[in-house]
Amino acid sequence: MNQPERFKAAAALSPEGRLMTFGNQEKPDPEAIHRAARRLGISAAALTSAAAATAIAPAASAATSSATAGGLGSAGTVVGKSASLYLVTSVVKGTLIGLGLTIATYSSVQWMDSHAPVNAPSATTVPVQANRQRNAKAPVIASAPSLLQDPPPATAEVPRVLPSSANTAGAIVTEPAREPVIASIRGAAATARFEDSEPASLPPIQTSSSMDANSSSGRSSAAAGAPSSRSASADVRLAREVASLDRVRALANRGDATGALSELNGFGRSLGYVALQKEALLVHIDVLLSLGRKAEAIAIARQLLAIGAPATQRNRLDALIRSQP
Amino acid sequence: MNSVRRLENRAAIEAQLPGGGDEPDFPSLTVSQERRLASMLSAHFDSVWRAGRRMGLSAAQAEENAQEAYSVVARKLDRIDDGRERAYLLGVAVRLAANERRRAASRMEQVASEREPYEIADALPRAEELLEQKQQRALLDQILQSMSDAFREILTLYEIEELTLPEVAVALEIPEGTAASRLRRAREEFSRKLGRLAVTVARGEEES
Repeated sequence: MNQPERFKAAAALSPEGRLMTFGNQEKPDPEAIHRAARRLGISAAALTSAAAATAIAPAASAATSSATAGGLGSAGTVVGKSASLYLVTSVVKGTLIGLGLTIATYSSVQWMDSHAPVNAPSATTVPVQANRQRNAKAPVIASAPSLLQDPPPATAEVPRVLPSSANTAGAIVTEPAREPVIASIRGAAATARFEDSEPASLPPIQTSSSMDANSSSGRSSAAAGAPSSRSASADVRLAREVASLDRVRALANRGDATGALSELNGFGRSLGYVALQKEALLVHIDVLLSLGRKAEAIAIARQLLAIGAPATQRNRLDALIRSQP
Repeated sequence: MNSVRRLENRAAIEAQLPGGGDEPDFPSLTVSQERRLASMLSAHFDSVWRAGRRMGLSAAQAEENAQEAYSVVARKLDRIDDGRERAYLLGVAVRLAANERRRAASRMEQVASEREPYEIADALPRAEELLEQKQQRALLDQILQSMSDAFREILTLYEIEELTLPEVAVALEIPEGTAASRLRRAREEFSRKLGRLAVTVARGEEES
């Protein structure tokens, strides 16, 4: 069944998506999980070890369930979220393909064995390509003895396969197959990273070069860095942005508009608002208006409308811009 | 949540899970079960807690609800397929929360009064106050709470906790087609309510 596009998929545009995004940012008291563990009779050691495993591969369970229930499309999106998942997936896929090739090779060798004359050597001791060539060139019975005398060709396409449970040839034949698999997963991961990333870079509150530098270096490091640490750092960043905006609003509510502006500019220069950029721009407008700096407020209002102001704010921003003499 | 009501609620949910509600109240876990439960706790506790919150419970009640959900699932651990844990947990959590709401509708007023001040500071917050993350969430909860349990459950599971539709169907024990149509109607209602609220806010802005 096709999955309807989630509201959040269009978070930059739809107010519904924005609200839904806020809906899953809330977190319980950090001690709550320990209280639950105690109630369930789970030892602290077991919880710690599970937490460590979760930290290593935070998206593994989600990817497993998505891949199981949601099909490859959603699994592909999840792939980009964890480096360890990427590694595990590539190894598993490589191994599966390798196993498939091994089985196919083994089957073909078995088939050739079963179709070879009774006195012909087993394919377990003869390179397959050589066997095929010889079989094609001469009658099977005549060619069979000479095969034992000839050295195996150096450029045999398929290595020898031992039809036993201790077969180790799988590792040999999987190697050529892995690279394209890894490449395709890399491609999927890159796509997923792109799809998961925040909306296209928005203009900063302060057009300082330091902020631009921060923003661009952040993005490049996010692209190059481990995806698992990316979500953690995004959480930390979001928490900082929320805390900063809380400070700004607290200052503004106390009537300290200068202090609020200083906080906005300071945070903008040091880190820059990314997830809460539109909120920051709106607060910035209010702070500037309270300081009587209407022209600057209008400039930011224009900027905000250009990047997509929240629906609830558009009328107000329009009215502000129209009020300019 | 008083303990009698809690046990009744849990029994009702357990009866809906595979195998019915015939397990002892506090099963002793094997090492592997403990490991699996710890892993589920570590991976999904936040989601399970949030599901309770979005269903209208206070933070403390959501924690209680999450603990209940885990203890329900702990009894059925061997019957839950690998990879389906999150769906089951969330399904149990939203149903526990919805049952609790239905059972004690009058108590919800009490729940609301226990909430953090910012959430009830203003039933219709001024538009600029919606900027803050917490208030956006309060707005979300306000809209969700004005919807039916069925719509709230499906929006919580699909839109907020990002289960897939088949997972939602498993969690809510409904056919996928029903889940899809319910989701579509829930989304339409959510958009309508949000739009109406935005119009009201804008009107209030103009008047002020």
